[in-house]
Amino acid sequence: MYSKEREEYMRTFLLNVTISIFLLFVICHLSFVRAAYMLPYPSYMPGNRLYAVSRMIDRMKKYWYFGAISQVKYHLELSDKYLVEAKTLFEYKQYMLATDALLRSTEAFQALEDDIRRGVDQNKDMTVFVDEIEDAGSVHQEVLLSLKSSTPETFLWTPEKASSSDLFLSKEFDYAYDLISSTVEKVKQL
Amino acid sequence: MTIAFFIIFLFLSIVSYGFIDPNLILSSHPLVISFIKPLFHIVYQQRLFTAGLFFIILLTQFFLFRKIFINSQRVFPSIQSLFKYLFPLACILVISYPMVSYDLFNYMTTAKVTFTHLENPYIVMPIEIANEPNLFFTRAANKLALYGPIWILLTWIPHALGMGNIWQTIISFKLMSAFWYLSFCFLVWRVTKNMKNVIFFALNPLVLIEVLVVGHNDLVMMALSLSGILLWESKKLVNRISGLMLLVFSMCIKGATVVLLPLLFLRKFSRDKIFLLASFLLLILFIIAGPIREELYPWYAIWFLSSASFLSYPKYLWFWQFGIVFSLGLELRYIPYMAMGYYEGPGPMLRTVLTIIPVVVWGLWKLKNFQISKIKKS
Repeated sequence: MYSKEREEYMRTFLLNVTISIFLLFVICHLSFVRAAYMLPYPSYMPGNRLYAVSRMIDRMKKYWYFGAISQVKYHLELSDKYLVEAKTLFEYKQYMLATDALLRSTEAFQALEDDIRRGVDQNKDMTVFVDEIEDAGSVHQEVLLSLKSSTPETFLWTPEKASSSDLFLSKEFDYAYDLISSTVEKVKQL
Repeated sequence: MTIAFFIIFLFLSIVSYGFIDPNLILSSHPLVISFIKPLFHIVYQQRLFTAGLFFIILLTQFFLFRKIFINSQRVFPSIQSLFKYLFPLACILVISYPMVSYDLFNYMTTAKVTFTHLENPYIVMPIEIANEPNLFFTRAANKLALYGPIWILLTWIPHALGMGNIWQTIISFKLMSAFWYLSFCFLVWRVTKNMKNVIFFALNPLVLIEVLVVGHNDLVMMALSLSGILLWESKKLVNRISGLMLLVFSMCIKGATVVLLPLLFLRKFSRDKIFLLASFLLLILFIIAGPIREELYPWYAIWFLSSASFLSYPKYLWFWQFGIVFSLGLELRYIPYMAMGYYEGPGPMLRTVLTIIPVVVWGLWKLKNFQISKIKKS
């Protein structure tokens, strides 16, 4: 008898909890799933015949993407593209080329601050793009952390016809990480 | 007859303000509000009445158009008299509200994205400029620019003339439509020297509604492409190059005129055959590609109607008759939405039926006439 009552009590309790959670989700639109910011697939890589063409198109696109919002899209697209390029090159241990791509990605990300400022100056509501930059920033930083953990701190780069030089990979990642953080912060304050 | 035709369009111009978007405030002047409010109430609250009224207006317009077309020599003894009539008619329609389509607002907002916000309309959708006030009444704001760069450049003129005022911008856009409309009518006269040809196009209620009331850009595209074809006939190289350029420009407004490119190679064909082929190509494109892309939009009929207006009269009268009854059927497509307030449900079926009925009736009438003439001959 006692156990039956207890069972009944538990059933009622579980039902109430289920209903409460359901209402919480419905009323507050609570969701644990967040639309993740997606990085693109790798484009042409150094060594490919079309790589130079792709880089040239990237430069030309700057003029096609006129306007503050267009420039946000342009720089975000470019930053993503070069980050993916850097990631792939790091995975193939092409550190010299990878650091160059990483630098380009960071520079493009940094340019977003000016784009947002321009949009704000033109009285455009840039909130959506600020959020997008924040999302992109956290994804970029995630990639940088994972690359940092799988890459040596320094690397001695020895080209065929020149003297060797040290690549401070860890510092490169830290620099890119900090720059992304500061850009996101500055953009949020605008 | 012409006065009645004028009055019915004046009436339509007044009634059109009832169709104003609920989120659009043209003016806060009490006089304007007191003019629009009762019309708005009728259109949005008395839907069946509005649909019935529009149906009667359309039937009257097409009936009077037929009468004027038949008696054209008597009604308009000279081209000057026709243009003296077209000019005030265009004026009263320019000041009407673009009642049955939101495309004009799309043109306006795209122009604003380009020339006020200085954004590339092929990269930035109007909806991405979240604080843009035009978003309240613009549909398809979640699309990138739908038209070619030549159209975007042309819209700078009405956009600048509008000076940021919505009503002024609407009228400026329609003034540009009126300019193309009158220019095209003059071109038809210049080429054909036949009043019937001009009247067939200029007074077709579909053309008047879609070009001057709603302000669609299809006539701009067609005027450029057909001028291009006409110039291509010339033996002078300069004219031919200009013709080709005009055709390319027209493709840079809407891509539809790309189907006219093969006509440039048919040098031995007569002008009549070229324009008949052009009309057929544009008609087929309209009937087949229109519904594949979205649906049979009435304003796409301007493509083949403008081309058909260069055909010889009375040799191709049957094609004109078809064009006119099809125009009526296409304009009737607005009625289900007016009556119901939504596009879905029985809407698509009703639209198809309403489009087909006038064409079928005309077909049966033609068949009957053909049989009678056959009996008489035998």
